Amino acid sequence: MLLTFYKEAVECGFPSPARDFTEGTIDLNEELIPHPNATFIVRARGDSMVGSGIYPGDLLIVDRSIKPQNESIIIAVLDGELSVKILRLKNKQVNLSSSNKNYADVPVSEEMDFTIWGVCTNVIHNLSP
Amino acid sequence: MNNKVFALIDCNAFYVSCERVFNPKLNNRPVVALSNNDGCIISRSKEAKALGIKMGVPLFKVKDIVEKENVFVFSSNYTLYADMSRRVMNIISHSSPYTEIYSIDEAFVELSSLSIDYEEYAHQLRKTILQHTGIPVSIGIASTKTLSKVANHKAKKDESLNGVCSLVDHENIDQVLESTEVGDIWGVGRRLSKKLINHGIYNAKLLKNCSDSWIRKAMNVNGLKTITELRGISCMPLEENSMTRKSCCTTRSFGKLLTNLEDVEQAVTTFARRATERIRSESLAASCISVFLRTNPFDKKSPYYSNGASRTLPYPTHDSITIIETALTLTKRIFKNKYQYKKAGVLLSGLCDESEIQETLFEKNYNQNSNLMSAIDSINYRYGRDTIQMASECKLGSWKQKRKNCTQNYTTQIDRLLLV
Repeated sequence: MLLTFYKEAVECGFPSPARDFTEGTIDLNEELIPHPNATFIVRARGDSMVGSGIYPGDLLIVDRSIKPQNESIIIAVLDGELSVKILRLKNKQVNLSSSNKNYADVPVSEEMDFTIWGVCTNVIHNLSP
Repeated sequence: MNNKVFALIDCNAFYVSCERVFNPKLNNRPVVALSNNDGCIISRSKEAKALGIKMGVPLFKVKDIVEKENVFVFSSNYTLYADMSRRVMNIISHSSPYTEIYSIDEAFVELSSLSIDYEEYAHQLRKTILQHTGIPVSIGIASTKTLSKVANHKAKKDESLNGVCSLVDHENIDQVLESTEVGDIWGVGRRLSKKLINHGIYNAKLLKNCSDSWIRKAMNVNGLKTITELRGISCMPLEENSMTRKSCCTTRSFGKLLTNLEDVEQAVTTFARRATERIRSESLAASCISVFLRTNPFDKKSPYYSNGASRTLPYPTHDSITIIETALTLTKRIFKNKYQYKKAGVLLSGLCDESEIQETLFEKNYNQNSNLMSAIDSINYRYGRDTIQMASECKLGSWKQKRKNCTQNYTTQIDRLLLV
């Protein structure tokens, strides 16, 4: 998808001379996907992450090349199941949190099979009513 | 002495590994992928191999084991495999300017011109590919392509090596060759391997020590190349075109950077036509067509762009018209105006015997096209390979093949994404 990109903010009420400042087009791939070989798009399911602005049906851009940090939103693989979680690291304890109080935190124990599939970098949410 | 160094990067059970990326539940469990029409087993996980499931057997022959051991069975999803392959190949081409895409899941890299520690490079590359794409690979390093294949084989078999085996400065290559069965040597097919075993030559060391004159008689010129390479003398350089049982790849680095769509389309048409002629000459047909384009990743002054697209056909074909038309549609999808293209390629994958198409196809046009294709091939053979070129269109039939357990196109279709 290509959009015309105006560098100047569009002002209201005044016939904008912005056309003169056109700088080509925005390529969302370039803007949102710096590592295309390592980036996958997945679709969110369920309401466990609504507090982070991730609603059912939203698209998540997942970059596998990024190193996860405390508070990163990640795709976790827990005993073979994929889920979107917030990674919380505290005193060597890994917790996987949701951002909906109806879901409890999952403390990761040693006997669990846990890996990080990728780090979510952006969410695309459709705003049409 | 020659001083070349080649690395062969080979994806482990590639089709199965692709499925596992999107289905982590399948890790550590027996998984197989099937050929076209859910016929034969063409990719097996380590666990499936351990159950005694052989490569290439028809599914019905192992039905009992599959049911009893809960083996996961997948129909081949070539669009997904081609996209994952493109990602892996891109990472490899970023690691060295001297690469050859040998098949959908293998690449050679020439390393001697880079001043690096070869094993460290290999471990790093392996880690990057696994982290970025989820695909595990094995890497063999040696002074010739043939020996790098041997090294790769060892890297796969010996788990203590962590996926990397180097025969460069190896003290006892003969010992490694002795443990390599003659049928596992690159370029030694099933028939030839039988013949060699009948003569008592059952491992690579014995083959290496055969006399040139005997080899020339028994194996032909390519056989001579094989044993020269087993002796550590490189005589097979990196290639731009390659053909294996799984795929056929035609690529080229352009002498002059290409910037407009027409030039790129022209190049892609030529690649697609040559690749199709190549599979036809081997009586094969392709299930999936991929096109890739990229700028030079080592030119830091110009913006980098790399992309690819694939399409799985409703049925396998070796019809140049269909394949070129598809390749051009894919090219238009990925071409962007502002870049300077250095390399493009066409990959035909999901190759199967052409008899498989004839058994399943009721298309009227098919045989007509087939006659047309053989006429074109014979003219091109007689008057030079580019005498007749393609510029026309043909419509695909609506017949669909059997793909019962096919996964989604997780990476290429917005309405088929992985749900998390």
